[in-house]
Amino acid sequence: MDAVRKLVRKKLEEKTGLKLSLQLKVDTVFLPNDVNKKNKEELHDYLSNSIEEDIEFLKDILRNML
Amino acid sequence: MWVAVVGGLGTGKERIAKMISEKDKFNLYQEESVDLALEFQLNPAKHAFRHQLLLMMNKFSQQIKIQNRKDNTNIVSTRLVEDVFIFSQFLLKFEFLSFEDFKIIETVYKKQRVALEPPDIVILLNSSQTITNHVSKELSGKVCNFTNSEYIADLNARYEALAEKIAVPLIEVDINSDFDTAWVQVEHGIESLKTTRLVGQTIWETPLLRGEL
Repeated sequence: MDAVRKLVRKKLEEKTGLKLSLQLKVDTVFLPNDVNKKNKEELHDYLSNSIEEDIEFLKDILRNML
Repeated sequence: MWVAVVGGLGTGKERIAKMISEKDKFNLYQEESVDLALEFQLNPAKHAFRHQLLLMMNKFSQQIKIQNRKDNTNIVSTRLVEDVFIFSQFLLKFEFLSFEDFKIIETVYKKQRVALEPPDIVILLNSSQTITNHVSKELSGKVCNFTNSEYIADLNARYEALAEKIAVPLIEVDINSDFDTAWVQVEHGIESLKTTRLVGQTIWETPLLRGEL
């Protein structure tokens, strides 16, 4: 049971980390006057390759942009 | 001076942009390639959201790059973030984008446009069904949804509305005639505008680009 709980926690931490990382990328790719090239490339890669479940994180962030 | 070239699929935006840049020694910014382009054409419903977001991201960074140039160099670019947003409206209409996903794209667009400055000239390539159908046959044949008569009629109507509402000097080119004739229209339009004082009003303040038409 502990193993399952650990796994779930690890997954949640991964997702939280992913969301924070995505938030940073969105902030520097869509909003500023000087687009961050590295973040843009990473977001490009993320959009192109992520599974649908992970794209939902990005949608959440974008929904809250305004 | 910054010139943007807009128009529907297969109207020759890149070709016109390249010819202007070669003739007038303008710097040329072309569209960056987007992953998922082929996947989107083959299965638009599955890939529309990601594809539109990628396009808007690329166009936004390109427009910011152009704005930040301090040397006042002449530049030609194809397509604007605004252009991509018009296309998103069609994806919604054809139900390739869900309403919820469209609202997200609209949110991004509204946020982006605050940071964008208008081009000095917009060249609008006005196409007919004949031209785009010809192009679609050369493509995979899977993009028919974006080249059917309903889509073309609607797209042309929106661009014609843009021509009426736009506050930036606009050259409307009839691309239905042979290409040499179309090119003469472009050259003549640019030459006449060179002697005109350019107006710097934003084009996205129009009802068209606010999605109200």
